[in-house]
Amino acid sequence: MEFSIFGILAVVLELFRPILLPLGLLIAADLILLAMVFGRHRRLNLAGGIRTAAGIGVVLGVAAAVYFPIWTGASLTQLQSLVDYLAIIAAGVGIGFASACVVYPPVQLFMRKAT
Amino acid sequence: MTDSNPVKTSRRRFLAGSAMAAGAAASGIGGGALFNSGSARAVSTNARIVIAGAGAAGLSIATRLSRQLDGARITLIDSREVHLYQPGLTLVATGIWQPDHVEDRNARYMPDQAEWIRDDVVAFHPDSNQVETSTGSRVDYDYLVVTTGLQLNFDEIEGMDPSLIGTDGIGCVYASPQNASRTWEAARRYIDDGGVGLFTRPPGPIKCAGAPLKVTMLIEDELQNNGTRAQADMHYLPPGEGLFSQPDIHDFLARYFPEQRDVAIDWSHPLTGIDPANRRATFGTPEGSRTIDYDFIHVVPPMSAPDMIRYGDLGWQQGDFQGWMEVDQYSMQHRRYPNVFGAGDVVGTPVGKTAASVKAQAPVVADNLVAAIEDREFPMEWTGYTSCPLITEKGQAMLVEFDFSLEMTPSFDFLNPFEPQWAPWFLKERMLHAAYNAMLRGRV
Repeated sequence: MEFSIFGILAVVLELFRPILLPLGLLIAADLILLAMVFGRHRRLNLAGGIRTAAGIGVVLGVAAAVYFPIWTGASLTQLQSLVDYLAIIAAGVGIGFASACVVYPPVQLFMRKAT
Repeated sequence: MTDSNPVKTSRRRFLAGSAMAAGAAASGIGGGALFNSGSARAVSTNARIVIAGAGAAGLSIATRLSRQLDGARITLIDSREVHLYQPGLTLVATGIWQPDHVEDRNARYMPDQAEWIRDDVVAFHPDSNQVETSTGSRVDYDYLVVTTGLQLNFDEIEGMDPSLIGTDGIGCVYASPQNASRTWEAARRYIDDGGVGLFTRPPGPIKCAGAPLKVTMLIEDELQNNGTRAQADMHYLPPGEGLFSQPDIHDFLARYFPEQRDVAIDWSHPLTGIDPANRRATFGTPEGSRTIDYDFIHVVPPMSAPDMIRYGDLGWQQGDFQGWMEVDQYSMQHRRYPNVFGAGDVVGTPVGKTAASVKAQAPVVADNLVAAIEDREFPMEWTGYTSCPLITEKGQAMLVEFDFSLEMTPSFDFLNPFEPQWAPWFLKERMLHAAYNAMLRGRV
């Protein structure tokens, strides 16, 4: 079976279709907050914000990777092959990165430079 | 058609969400345009195309044709409002999914450009280019696509009736989500109490031929999880000497069932009768009739094309596929009526009768029908591609893919089709329903 990038996008679209609207609203809110970050960047502790968001992303990514098989009704003991482990690692990295991106703007706005 | 424009609505929602994010907007607009690029090169025609049956094949083909043709009158005939995600019935019958998980509405996938006649075709008149519906009306066509699906012939098993499913230890994954759910109720009692479990398979082609195997393995797995496996004596009873049409998987299962799952294989045991009150099943073996008492039995009814095909002009008149719709297995065009095409469970081809087959057949039928309208050579051939995520236990599966050659044709070289793994289970449990819906929308 051949795969195309647009076919894969179509499947992903169907996967997220039930939550497309809330997802869009979340992204919109995040972008507004990100614009505020850019506007106030001189007053913000950028390094601290990035570190904190990355830390949250790592924690959520690891949690997601561990939870991923359980989400499908399987258990961790049923991971058999290298492919299985790579799949949950990829899921963990993806979810961790997405989580870090989502939490970064609000986290950053809370982290101001010490005066 | 009562539904508002589902495709456009979803696209609006998609674009609205994307517009909020610059990067997403770029991919959304680009993707949206490319998903529908067919309309830019649509073929102008006033052809009347009738599609009989709004299942997976009918909807996928209707959506594709509506994009590829401009001015055609496309008519879908089907009375069903509910669309069943049939590949999920195995998961309902084994308690993993709830019945509503596999129920959807046909209206959500019906293309705007198509007319939907809520009626059922009861007869085909290919010599006069007409179909006859249950209300007695006749619909003329220039081109016909037959996607009626198949019929379950419970009455070919003496004493069997679908109303028995869920009672007296009788299960059947095939009939409906409700019956699949009742199958789980019967199976759960067996899982608690143990006893003799019979898992049957009828002679002849059936839809999703992996389903009886999956049900057997999932119930065996639940017995293990429940701590009652030692109390259960399980038998798989194929009608002949084959477990699976792909020979390597057949060999694998012939060893795997008795050696690793303690499931006895009783070869050449087609179910001929059932006595629910006494929980007794009768099999027509080469040595004669054999009766076995059971505590749970998974009944798989014999299947055929609908009678209007089976005994009508469109069916194979002789040969291995007698009674199924007569199509060229590569072009999906009828072998005697060139303005008739077929797809899905109804067609008589060496392999198929899965959603994966439909995914491969739909573009072939749509493209070849458009070519027929334009009077040019057919651009596409179905290779016989079919696929079965063969679930071995809750949490593991093997992704089996093959074609007419019966050679394995793995989409993912890194997935060993002979090794139960979690990744194929993930595909089956989480991803394939989305892929199926994308197929209905003609996007994959």
